[in-house]
Amino acid sequence: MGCEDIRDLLALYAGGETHENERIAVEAHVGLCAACARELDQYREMRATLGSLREGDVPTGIWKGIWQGVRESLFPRRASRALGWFDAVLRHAAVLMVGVAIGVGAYYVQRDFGGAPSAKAPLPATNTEGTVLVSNPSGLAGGLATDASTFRLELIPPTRPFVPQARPEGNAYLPRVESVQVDGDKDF
Amino acid sequence: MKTLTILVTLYTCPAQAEQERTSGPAGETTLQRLEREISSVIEKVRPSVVKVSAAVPVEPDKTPEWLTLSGVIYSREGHIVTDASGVESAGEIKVTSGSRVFKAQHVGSDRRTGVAVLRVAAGDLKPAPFAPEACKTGSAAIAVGNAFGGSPGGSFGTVGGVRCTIVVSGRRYDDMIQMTAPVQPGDCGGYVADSSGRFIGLVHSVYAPDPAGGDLAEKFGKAARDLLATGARNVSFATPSDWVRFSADRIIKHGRMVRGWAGLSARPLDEAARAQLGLPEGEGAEVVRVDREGPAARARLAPRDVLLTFDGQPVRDLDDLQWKVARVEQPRNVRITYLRNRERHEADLRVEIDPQR
Repeated sequence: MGCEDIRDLLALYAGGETHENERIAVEAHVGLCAACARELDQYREMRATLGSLREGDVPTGIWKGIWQGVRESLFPRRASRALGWFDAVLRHAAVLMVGVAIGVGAYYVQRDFGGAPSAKAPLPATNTEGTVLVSNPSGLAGGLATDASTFRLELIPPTRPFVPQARPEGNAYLPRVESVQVDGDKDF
Repeated sequence: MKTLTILVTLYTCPAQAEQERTSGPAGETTLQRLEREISSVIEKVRPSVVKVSAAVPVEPDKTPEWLTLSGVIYSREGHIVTDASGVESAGEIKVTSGSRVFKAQHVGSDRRTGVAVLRVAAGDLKPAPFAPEACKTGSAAIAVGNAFGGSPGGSFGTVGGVRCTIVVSGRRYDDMIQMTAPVQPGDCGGYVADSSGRFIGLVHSVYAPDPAGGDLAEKFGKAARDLLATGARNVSFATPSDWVRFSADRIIKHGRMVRGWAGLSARPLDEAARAQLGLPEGEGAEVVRVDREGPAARARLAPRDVLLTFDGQPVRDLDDLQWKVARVEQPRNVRITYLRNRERHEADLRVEIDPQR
């Protein structure tokens, strides 16, 4: 796979959503390609940062939507000068996609908690200790409930601090022999 | 009596320690001894192995990417020998020796042997001790290099063959050592040691199945496979120490590679052809290829001609002839005789300086 193909998979790999064969391809590639490895590190860093703002794993499929959009925003493809306006449109579209993806994520979070978002529900309140209280009108407990009426989503430190993947300084070099000649010729 | 016991103990303890150091503790198995000796060779060689990092331009106006390979300390004056193909297009080169990093100057390269010479401003380097004789098939080959860009590590194998001709990236290399010591990406330019830790070759390349595609390395101007993990078949190649020394000495002396060039390929005549032509045993070499713009073409040599004498000497040993031509430092005329259609001809062949194409 080339860099473009691998970059399409980097966001999914960072979110742990790749298939086994894709995972192997990504790991082999980033071990040799400094540019893709840097990009992957940035995805991981952002994932770790965002991971500290909520508890539990993100529902399956969310990362795919979010990071596909984020990638276009952070690492825009090269555009010709004549189509500079088109690049700007793409950037806005990427930002819009991120918004949509976050919205979809919020929807799934709400659905998993057992209730549809209510127009009359009070806004989340943040207390001085940094906990967020979320209303739960249906009264269903869900996995994170501490009582029947509220969820306590706490700002917790990441359980595992982000450690960049150890990798060599550059691309380790070793040429491959194309053919071995056994006819005894000498070139001089 | 007590004094005598103490004296005997004091006498025997150092002797026993020395014996353990040289031949190993009593009860040591052959395998354990082999393991210990390989480790000791790797430890001995390690200070003469450096990591070479070369900034290779990828695309115009973009930050170059760093390739890592290995190098061997050649002289106390700071000369390092490494693989030419890894550094020839580099804009910036760094050499790491232990914990010290030096900026290196590319002195020159010999494309025919794949040897490049770098120079660093360091005074206390430990040059590699060269083996006094060329290695033989079956002898030990311990490869020490910076696999995957890490610190120097080693692998053990044997010399599987000598005087091999290989083609790498379309370029031909003669007289290479074939060995079974596994080498990994990053080992290129590393140290191949004999069983005593003496330098017998410079790690050059690996023979491996063509890996799955990928365009990663095309941007380096090299084949993609050169950068992918290879080595599954454990057949690797090294430039022999005598050619490394020859190329390095010439590059250091002239500031660039200077070697003679006749512009032809030849091979020994087989016995049937020799008998048919009525030539003495072991004499004569068949011209296989002539460089269209080379000295041999200007002397009107052609494929299928049979070289009989070169500079007044019968052509018997092609290895020797190859050395004779390579040693030429100034262009000079050499009288040759050859057979064409069973007729004997004479010509002046002007041996020139290899243009290193």
